[in-house]
Amino acid sequence: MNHQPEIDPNSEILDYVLRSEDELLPTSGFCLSVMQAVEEEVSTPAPIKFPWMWALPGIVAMIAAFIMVIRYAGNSLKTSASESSFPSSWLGQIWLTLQHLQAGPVFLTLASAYICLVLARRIAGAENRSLLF
Amino acid sequence: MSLNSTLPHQPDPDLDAVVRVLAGDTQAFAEIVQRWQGPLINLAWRYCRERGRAEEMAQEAFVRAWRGLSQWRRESSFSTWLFSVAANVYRTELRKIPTIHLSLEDSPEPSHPFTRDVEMDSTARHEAVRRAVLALPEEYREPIILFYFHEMNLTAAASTMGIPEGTMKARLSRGRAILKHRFPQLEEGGSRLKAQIHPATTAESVALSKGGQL
Repeated sequence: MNHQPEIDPNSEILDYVLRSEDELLPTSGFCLSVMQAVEEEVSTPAPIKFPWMWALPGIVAMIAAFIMVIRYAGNSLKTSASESSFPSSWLGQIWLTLQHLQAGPVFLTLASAYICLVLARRIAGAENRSLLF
Repeated sequence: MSLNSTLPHQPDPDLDAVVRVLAGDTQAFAEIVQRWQGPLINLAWRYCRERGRAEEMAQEAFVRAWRGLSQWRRESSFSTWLFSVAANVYRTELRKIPTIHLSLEDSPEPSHPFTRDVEMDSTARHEAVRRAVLALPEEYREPIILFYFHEMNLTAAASTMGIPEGTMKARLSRGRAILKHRFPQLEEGGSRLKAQIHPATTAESVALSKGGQL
């Protein structure tokens, strides 16, 4: 279907060219296809909004854990540089053992995983929380 | 094509359909789609100049309108709101996957002004101009698309874009200047084309410009 508007003798040729566009006709199934998309939209449950209120403590905990890891790494480097700060005490021996086993990062990882699990269950609305609490 | 054709004393079929949709009658939306599918596809076509993609973009615009139907404040006409939603969708879609087009410098233009009409027939030349619109910087491209889509109605184009009329006018003027600079034959060939379409009017204006009697 051509759409050729009357040209105004006073208007410019550019106006004529840009106004006189061919007009597309929708394909026969277009309306049906839109309505199918709309029906899909209706049948799909609304997306769950990200629960910032619940996630915030988790995010704070993660940041705190990260800072602790950094500090722990820094302290470890210092300690190893100037030998152990408490070489003869039994506490020092435990500390060195834990350091040797890299228990700190393992502990932090486990704690983070636990926090994530708790938060995920809370967000998902799990009814049975007895396993965790 | 009258885009803002709702008369004040007639029942508004769009409003009626929207009310029914918001009341839970999904099928009432089909009436809106039937009524506005042509304009929305044609607007999308002007944005991308690819038929298949134009329909996809128009479909996305309808789905977005469906989602936001309750946000239509009814202060403006339904068509103004719908075109505004569609323009936003088209703009976003084209930013995600830009159309493949030539830059203004690469768009076809014969080397010598005197051979232009020989090398390109008017249809091809006009199509080159329309495609060159897509190569304009974004801030000039959209005002041009919307202004001519709304049949040179500045107010309608500005409200679709959601910008003041003054800004629209300035961008339009700059965009048109770039196109005219790129296609100088539009000025040269203008009088010839006008003569083909309105021979009498052009003859009159020539006679008047020469101070002659009709």
